[in-house]
Formats: sequence, C-alpha cells, structure tokens
Amino acid sequence: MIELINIKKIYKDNERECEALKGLSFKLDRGEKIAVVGPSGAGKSTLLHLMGGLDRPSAGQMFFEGKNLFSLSDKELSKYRNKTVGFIFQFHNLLSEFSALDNVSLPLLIGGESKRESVKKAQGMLERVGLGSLAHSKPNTLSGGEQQRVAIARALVGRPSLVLADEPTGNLDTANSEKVFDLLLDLNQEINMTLVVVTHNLSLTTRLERIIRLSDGKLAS
Amino acid sequence: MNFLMNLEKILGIRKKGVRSIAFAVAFFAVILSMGLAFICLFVISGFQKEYQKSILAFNAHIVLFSEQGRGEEKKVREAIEHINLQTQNAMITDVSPFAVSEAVILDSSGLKACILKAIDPQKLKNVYALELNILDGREDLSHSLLLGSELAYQISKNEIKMIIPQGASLTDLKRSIQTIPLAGIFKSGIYEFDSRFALTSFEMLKKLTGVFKITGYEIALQDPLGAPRVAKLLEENLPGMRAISWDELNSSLFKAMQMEKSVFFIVVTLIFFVAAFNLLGATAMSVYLCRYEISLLYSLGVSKLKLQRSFGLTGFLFGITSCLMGWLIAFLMLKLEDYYGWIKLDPKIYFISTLPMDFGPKLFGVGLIFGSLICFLFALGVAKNLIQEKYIINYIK
Ligand SMILES: Nc1ncnc2c1ncn2[C@@H]1O[C@H](COP(=O)(O)OP(=O)(O)OP(=O)(O)O)[C@@H](O)[C@H]1O
Ligand SMILES: [Mg+2]
Repeated sequence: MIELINIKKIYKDNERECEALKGLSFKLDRGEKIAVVGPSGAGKSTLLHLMGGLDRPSAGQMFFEGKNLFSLSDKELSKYRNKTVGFIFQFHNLLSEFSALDNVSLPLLIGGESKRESVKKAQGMLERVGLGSLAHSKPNTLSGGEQQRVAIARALVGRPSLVLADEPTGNLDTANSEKVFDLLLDLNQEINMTLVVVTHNLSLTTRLERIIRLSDGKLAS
Repeated sequence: MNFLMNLEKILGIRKKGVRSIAFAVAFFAVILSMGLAFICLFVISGFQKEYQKSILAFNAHIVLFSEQGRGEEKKVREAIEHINLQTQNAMITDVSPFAVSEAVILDSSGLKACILKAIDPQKLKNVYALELNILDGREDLSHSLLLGSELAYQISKNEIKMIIPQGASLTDLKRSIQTIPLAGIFKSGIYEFDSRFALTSFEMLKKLTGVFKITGYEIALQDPLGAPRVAKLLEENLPGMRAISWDELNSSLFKAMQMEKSVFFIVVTLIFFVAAFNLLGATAMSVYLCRYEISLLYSLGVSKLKLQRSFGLTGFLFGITSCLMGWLIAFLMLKLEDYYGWIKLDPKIYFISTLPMDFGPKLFGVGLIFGSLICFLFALGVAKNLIQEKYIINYIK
C-alpha cells in the first residue's frame, strides 16, 4: 500500500551539504503498525516529513495506493496531507490562541467541511480521547499529556489512512506516555490506519508490529 | 475565499507588538508617498488642462495660413464644406479670416510693442472663448480696439496712441501716430497673449495701414482633439496652404509639460517604491512571527499557494487602504490650498496666477490600481520567497 523506492534527501544550506537519507526503500501494508528507531541525526524526522508530503525528496519515488506521491502538484499534495495523513509532533502542536475544540476541527475546516459538521465531529473525537469536558480550554491551560491527546484527536478526526507520529511521547512522563500510546493503538484498531511512530522509548516499540532501524540515512537491520 | 478569510483570522492573531509597529510605519510611508504622488499628478494635470483651456480661448483650433493674402475665401469655404461632408459629423463649426500686424503703443511711460490682430467682430464669440469686458456703447469694433488685460493694465487709458511701423518711413513716423478709442479688454488667462495682443476689426486695420493682407483663417472645431486630423485634411484639400493645429502651434509648451510630467512621474514613483519597501520588511516580519502557524496549517493541508496568497491579499488590502488615504490627504490639502490660496504663482513665469488642479477620476483610478497592485505584488513576492517547504519543515520538528 505504501512503497518507498530509493528515497534520497540532501539538505543544502550555505555550501554545506547534508545527506540525511541515502537511498531508502521499504514497503508498508495497510493497517500496519511500525516503529522507526535510530540514533539522533539518523534521518527519522526527515523520513516522516517526506512520507507525509511536507517536503519532496532529492531523488526517489514513493507510491501511496498506486499514486506516485511526488509527481503530485502543490494542491494535490496538500489534499493528501489534509485527507490521508494525520501528523503528531513532539512540540508546537496546537494553536495557542484557539480552544481545543477549534484546534481539532481545523483539519476538517481546511478540508472544506461546514463549521457545524466540523465542530460536531471534533467534539466527538475529543470525547473519544477523554477530553470532552475540556473542549473549550485553551491549550496552555492543559497539561502536556492532555495537549498531546488533543493533538492525537486533531490528527485522527479526519479518519486518515496514514498516521505519522514523531516522538509523540518525547516530553511526557512514563505514565502519560503509556496512556497516550494506548490511545493511539486503540484508535488504530478502530480506524484501520497505518501507524508510523518515531520513538526512543524501547518499551513502547515492543507494542508495535515491526521496527525499522535507521542509521546514518540508511536501513540497518 | 471563505477559508482564505479564516486563514487571515488565524494568521492575523499575531498582530501585536513589533508586527503592528512595522506595519504602521510602512502604512504611513505609503500613505504619505501616495499623497505626494496624487498632489503632483493633480497639479501637473491641472496645469495641462488650464493651459489647454487658456490656449484654446485665444487660439482657434486650427490656423490656416493664407498663401496669397486675399481672394482665397471662396476656395477655403468650399474645402471646408467638402471636409464636413467627408467626415459625416460636421467637424468644422466655424471659420474666420484674420490679419496681424505689428504695432507700437505710445504711452506716457514709453513705447510698447504689441501685435494688432484684426478679426471679424461678429465671430468674436463663436471662434474665441475669451473673457470680455467691453465699455458701454463701444460694442462696435470698427472704430476701436480691444486690449489684452495685462496690456490694458499697463496703460490704463481710454484712448490709445498707436504707430504701425509697417510701410511708414522714418520721416512720416510722427505723422502716422493715430489715436484710437478703447472698446474694452479681453482676457485669455495666458500672460503671453494678454500682455501682447490687441484685437480690432478689418476696417480699423485698413484705416491704420492702408492695405493689408489676410494672414490666414482661424477655424473652430466641434472637438478640439480632432484638430491634427482636420488640419491634415485641410492641407490635402487646399494645396499650397499650411494648416497648423492648436497643439502643434504650442507644441513646445506641451512638450515641456509632458517632459515635466515624465520627470515628476519617475521621481514620485521612486518615492513610492521606497515607501513600499517598508511593506517588504513588514511582510517578512509578519511571515516570521507567524512561522509556527504557517507550518502547522501547511501540515494540516493548506497549500503553499494559499498561504502565500493570504499574505498577498493582506498586501493588497494594505495597498488599497493606504492609497485611498493618500488620495484623501492630497485632496484635502489641495482643497485647502484652493480655498486659502497660500501659493501664489508669478503669471509672467507660469502664465496663470493660482495653482491649478484637476481631480480627474482617471488619475485617481490609475494611482489606486498602480499602488495596490505594487503592494500586492510586493507582499506576495516576499511570501513566495519565505513560505517554502525547506523553511516550513524547520518549524514543525
Ligand atoms: N533543514 C535542514 N537543513 C540542513 N540539514 C538538516 C535539516 N534538517 C535535518 N538536517 C540534517 O539531516 C540529518 C537528519 O536529521 P533528522 O532531523 O531527520 O534526524 P532525526 O533522526 O530526526 O534526529 P532526532 O532523533 O535528533 O530527531 C541530520 O544530520 C540533520 O543535521
Ligand atoms: Mg527528529
């Protein structure tokens, strides 16, 4: 369902060249749960950005359900990000001036759904992650774990078929990490989505089906 | 569009602090430069209009110069009829012969050269659009003359002593001094004309000079702008005669004005661009302050183009508002000047004595479109340069 063929990414800034990914190829099936691990600077975040259509590779192709992702236009790629992908980042997840509910309904509004419909779905999703009563709170009044649950709700509210999480529990304590991870796996069961999680937490990786090890921009088996 | 407005709301959140100051500075700069631009445009085009009007008040639309000096009137009238038939909507409305002669006015203060121009007094109102001030009971020009207002101001007498040097030998110069009653004064608004011309009738000219030649024919048109075309037709139909349109007759003045206009345009455009560069800075700052929002929205599926356009739209709205305000400032300042008349012009240099202005809708439209377009392009250009994947991904790691 997802196939990466010889993906390379070279960052260039001020004469310095950095080859973050050096020809990466692998396949993912629909509904698979994958952990991406590797030392800092291995290219994990870079890989996730490419898979999520946030950036384009320097070379290589990626097929998503038969579609050649990087031959898509700016507009088509943004539609892919909006409808197909759900992102969860470690930091800078929420718009601090908006309520949790507004944050969660944002992807739906961007996708062109009506305000009423979006808010209804967003409320439902917040209830699902156990934050129904905090829907109208601003993010900075929520705890770190709660904020990350709001981010999960926002990533999943549009029922994406691919969820990409870059160290989603990176700044949470063990108990909260467990809770967030449980939630992610439960929802994965419900929605039948492919889940790709970058994490340093080895105990969490054991709960996923497959592990992709990255080292210096290459697969390390 | 609906979402674009929502986007505005989301990106507009960070309006506080530095960003609002940067925009306020840019806003003032653009308003002031637009105000300046509009003042220049209004005044220059006012000059142009005023000169055009004044020139047309004294000059006929076309002057057709006579070849032989007499006996051509029938030929001319036939040619005009022919042209009027040819051009369907009777372009030529009137024709009147004229003759000019040099003359010297004797006055207690000395001698003054002037140009004596003989016309058909009946045509005074049809061919010329002069401001007239005629003394009671002296409407008949056949024994008197009309002086230009500036000339009359220098002489201020009811009778004029005049010599026509033409044909008179030195010995009988004294004998040829003639006393002519003044019928009144005329005013065209142009110092050149008002200070040098005296108008009279053919009978009077004949009495003063004995024999005279017709210098040419003055022709009035329905539409003054058609003059060059009709002048060409006249020359084609009257071989040997030269027809000069009013704009050609005053071409050096109009060329100088056009030149002045171009120079002003360049200077004002430069000033405007300097002002608009503030907008570049303000937009860049605003993109920077909104970097997290931009990258988050991007990751949630807003296209790059939409994000860039939202800044372009901001620039456009910025441009329209500041241009409108600039126009308003220019308008108010000129209206105040018009009312109080602080600026006095020396008519000997400028031909007119008050600052002319023309608030044509065309100038307003051109300024507004130009200004807001530049602001739009500037903001869009900055956004296009700064909203790129390679910058966006740095903020969402
Ligand atoms: N925008 C960029 N410009 C230049 N080099 C970059 C850029 N982003 C990443 N890199 C480089 O690419 C390599 C891979 O970076 P990446 O962020 O993918 O690593 P990572 O595996 O996510 O590391 P971490 O676990 O610390 O998050 C690094 O060497 C990094 O310096
Ligand atoms: Mg990383």
